[in-house]
Amino acid sequence: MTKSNQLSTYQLSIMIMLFLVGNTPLVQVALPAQQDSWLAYLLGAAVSGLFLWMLLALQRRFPDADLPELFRQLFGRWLGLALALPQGLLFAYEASRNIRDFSDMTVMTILNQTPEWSIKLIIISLSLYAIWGGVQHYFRLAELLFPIILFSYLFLIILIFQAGLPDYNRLQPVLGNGIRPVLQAVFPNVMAFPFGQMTVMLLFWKYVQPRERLSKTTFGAYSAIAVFIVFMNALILSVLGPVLTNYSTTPFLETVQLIRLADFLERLDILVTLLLVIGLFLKLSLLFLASVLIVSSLLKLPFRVCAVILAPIIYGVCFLEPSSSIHLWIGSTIVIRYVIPAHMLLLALAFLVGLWRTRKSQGQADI
Amino acid sequence: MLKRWLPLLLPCTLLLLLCGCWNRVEMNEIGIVSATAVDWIDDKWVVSYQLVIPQAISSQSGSSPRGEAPVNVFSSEGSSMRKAIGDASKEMSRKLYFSHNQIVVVSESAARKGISTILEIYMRNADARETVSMFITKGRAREMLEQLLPIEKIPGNAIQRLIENEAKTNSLYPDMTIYRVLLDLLGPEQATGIPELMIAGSRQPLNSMEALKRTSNQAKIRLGDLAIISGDQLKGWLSQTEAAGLVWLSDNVNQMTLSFDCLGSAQEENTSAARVVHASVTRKPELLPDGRVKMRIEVKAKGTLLEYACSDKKIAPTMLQKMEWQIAEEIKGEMEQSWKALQRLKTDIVGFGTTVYRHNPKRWKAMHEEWNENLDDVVLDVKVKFSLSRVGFSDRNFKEVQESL
Repeated sequence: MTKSNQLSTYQLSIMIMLFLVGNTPLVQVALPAQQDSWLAYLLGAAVSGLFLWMLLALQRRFPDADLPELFRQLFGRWLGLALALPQGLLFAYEASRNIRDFSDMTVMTILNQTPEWSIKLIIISLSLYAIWGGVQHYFRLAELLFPIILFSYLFLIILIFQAGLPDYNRLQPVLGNGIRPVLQAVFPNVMAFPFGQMTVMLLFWKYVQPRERLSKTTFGAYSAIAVFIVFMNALILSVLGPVLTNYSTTPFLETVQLIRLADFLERLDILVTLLLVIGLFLKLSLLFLASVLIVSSLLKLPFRVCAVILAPIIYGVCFLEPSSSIHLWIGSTIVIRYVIPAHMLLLALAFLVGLWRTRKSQGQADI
Repeated sequence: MLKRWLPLLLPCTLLLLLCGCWNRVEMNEIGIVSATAVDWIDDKWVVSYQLVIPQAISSQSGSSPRGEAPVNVFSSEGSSMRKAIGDASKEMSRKLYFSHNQIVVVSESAARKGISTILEIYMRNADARETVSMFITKGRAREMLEQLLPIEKIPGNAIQRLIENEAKTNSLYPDMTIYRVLLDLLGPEQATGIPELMIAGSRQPLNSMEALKRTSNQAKIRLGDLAIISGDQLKGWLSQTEAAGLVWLSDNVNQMTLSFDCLGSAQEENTSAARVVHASVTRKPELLPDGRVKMRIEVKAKGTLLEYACSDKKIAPTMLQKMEWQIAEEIKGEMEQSWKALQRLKTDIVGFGTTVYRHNPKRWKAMHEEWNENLDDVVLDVKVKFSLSRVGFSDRNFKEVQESL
């Protein structure tokens, strides 16, 4: 491993946070839980935390392996290839879904006259450019953008409180419809999105130095951002109430639009758009990078060649859905309900196989 | 190598400068709308716009030496509201720009037809913002846009400031933005109250700059009754006296001025006044054994004395207590009167249903269908405590001082 390909724990924690926050304010997955959706997020984060522990255990067993290597060692050459390649394509597909989200949102908010093909083309080119330098270069980009996102969120949160919008009574009654709707939201929706997407980190953990602090850093960043997501969810609910939150497709944007302070601090939706644009971009580029890494390692192709081959495919796939409603429908009823949970199951299986293998090899060593 | 590519690369870099031009919006291509009005006439939506004329309000030309009106009002009609807005291009040289729209006035006929269409548009479209204040008017809504207000340049902004000021300093009516209307109509009771905008005085409208040249005007825009919306339709009106207790019932008090009687003097009513500076209201629903709901409302308010017309001697602690009791009774009376009016209209716009839902969601499920119908069964239990923390710079009535000499 060359030194230029190392990641510091700081870089890793920033990436985890930005990746998870990404487009989370944009996508609503906890609809059945109504005013308890923040509880659903809390529970979902805890359940996926367990899953994350599994992933980290797997990584500890094969510290130098990334996802394709891991599957090769666990399942052998061909089965490993057959199981790992779809995951690479899944990441590419998710990246393309994010591009679609990106262009839908910009067309609805700021660039309403710009054709979508040009927005998507610009994003995929930028994304290609961002990952061109490899893993470390891309993580540095996240480091660079982190302060902007942090301060924008802080600024908006302070303004929402200053404008006197939150009313905590809107979160009542807590568990008014029982625990069932919350559990329905957690399994599998919240568990899968956004927290289940931590699987992508399997590609990057092997670059992190020092190794000993890997688990601690990951869990630290994961919990911090989970708390933040739960807080944002509760904040938006306390402003809009459960019904209006569900009625609006972009509750966060809706909340910020309500800020009116001192006759000049208003119409801040542009800041939200900016935040979501950066968040989405970082997320989709990381997914793109992950899929390129998987494909290039499996098919023994150079990294950049793979990137150039995958970019047009990703670009093309995001035109397949004829309208944004169908796009959202596929996202909420197929991808989040079935595809991501299936992916999580596959990795849980890999964990069990890994456990069984080590047991067996330990047993043999004992004999 | 580089030399050969340079002539090709340079123009390409210059192209980057054009990025911002794709989605450009030029200031002189848009017509800024400061207020909209919605009428329902002959089974068609008639949407009216108050367009700001930038030259007339720019500070450079002073307050418009040529006597130009600062706004221009025109209408367009269609079978759907957004179609009517689209049709505006047939008579307007500029593209309508709604981001600075401040108020929307809905006529009574349109409100009886249903305001869900308007709310739907505000939720669906990014350019229509939910901070717009909503009003209902009894006549044609378009007329409200045609009125000029003294002092202010843009009437739309002025009317929004009017309701904000009213909500803050007198709290008779809250500023019903689209956001609050949405929250109320999607809340458990599905009902809300929206203030009426009316032209008071003679029907001689203030629609020309000539009218503003006089020091007093025959007519002026003011807030009138309160329109009660249930579901999405206008159900009835509450007069200002009937609506006075609503702020207390719904826990929306900021500051307000109250008038009250002297103790024991029946000849003149409400001749003294006090100002409420701080108030807290706690509302608790209680389920009675016979299945009815009892609303316990406790009001704690603090205020100062503004005007004192009673012929008592110097203000003493015992008298203060009586005065406080008197004011508390006044508040209680207002609350009960308003509650009776709401029971008459069978619409709960003060959020009692919400408190029941929050305290007892299971019971609410059983009763929410007929909540508004069975409003008569709700028992009101009001306790008001008022404390006068200050009496101002004098502790005696002027006349009393005069007589004591």
